[in-house]
Amino acid sequence: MAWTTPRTWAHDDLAAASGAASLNTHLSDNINWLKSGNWAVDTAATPSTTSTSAVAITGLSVSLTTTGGNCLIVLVGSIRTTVGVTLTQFQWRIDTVQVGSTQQVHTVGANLSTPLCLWYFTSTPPSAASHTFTVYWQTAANTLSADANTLRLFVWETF
Amino acid sequence: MGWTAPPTFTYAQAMTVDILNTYLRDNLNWLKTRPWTSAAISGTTTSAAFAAATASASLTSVGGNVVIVFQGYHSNTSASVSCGIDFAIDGARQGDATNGLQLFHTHSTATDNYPITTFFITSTPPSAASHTYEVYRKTASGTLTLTGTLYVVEWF
Repeated sequence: MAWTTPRTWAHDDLAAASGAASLNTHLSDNINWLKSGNWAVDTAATPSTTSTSAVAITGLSVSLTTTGGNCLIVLVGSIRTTVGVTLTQFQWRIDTVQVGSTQQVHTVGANLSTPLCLWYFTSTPPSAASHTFTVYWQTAANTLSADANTLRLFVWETF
Repeated sequence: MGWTAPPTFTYAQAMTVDILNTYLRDNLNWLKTRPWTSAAISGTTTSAAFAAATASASLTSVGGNVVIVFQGYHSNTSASVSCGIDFAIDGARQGDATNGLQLFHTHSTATDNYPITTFFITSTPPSAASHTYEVYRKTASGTLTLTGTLYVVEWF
């Protein structure tokens, strides 16, 4: 059930069961849409990279058809690098275009798990269409990886 | 006031007081004040397997998906120890069987506190009933202390 911008009702409107003045479209469907929300999640199994420039996290991509509202994007999980305390960076991408600022995270130490919970909220809503949400990452040195089955990307059209 | 899924209206159906109050007023009020709860989490563990923290949160939901967040800090009597955190609903853990939702190593200085935030949305909604939400945690060695707040909200 999709969201439809509620019509402006007029005096003596006849609330038909279907069509432009439909109570089902403007009342039932919209209330159900608000209840069920519009969101999606993806989980990456065992991604890793040695890239010192930003590349997409393999196997972590969310496609969501939005209705023109702003989106909350959350990346959660745990990462590690094969050398001691290492600078890693994360970028939010919508349809491959970076949004927001780059997040920087130093890992705890060589092969030690570092928990992540990064958030971004779009201040300019993506257009009402299908969009692909991804996260790009990079490491200053050696191999950056995520602990198996912990890295999740949530995308949620909020308002 | 609970949630009642709006019906499919039929042509010329009268908009009675009951219909407007149940499907319009009550549902809008439900959307405005979605069910949520929180619980203070504290305590220690020496368990190498995921074990529940002592406190839990109970929430009666209407069959929607639930957002679960833990925000707090951790420390360990041993330095550089592998620890894990997971959420459970009625005792069923939600994350990876081995790693849970997140792994985290304690830092090189034992007993120092470090922040941790965990976020999860159920993909299979809990049934319309009361459910118990818990934080599970484990530590490879030493004594792990995890302190913070667990939030649960039915959002979808």
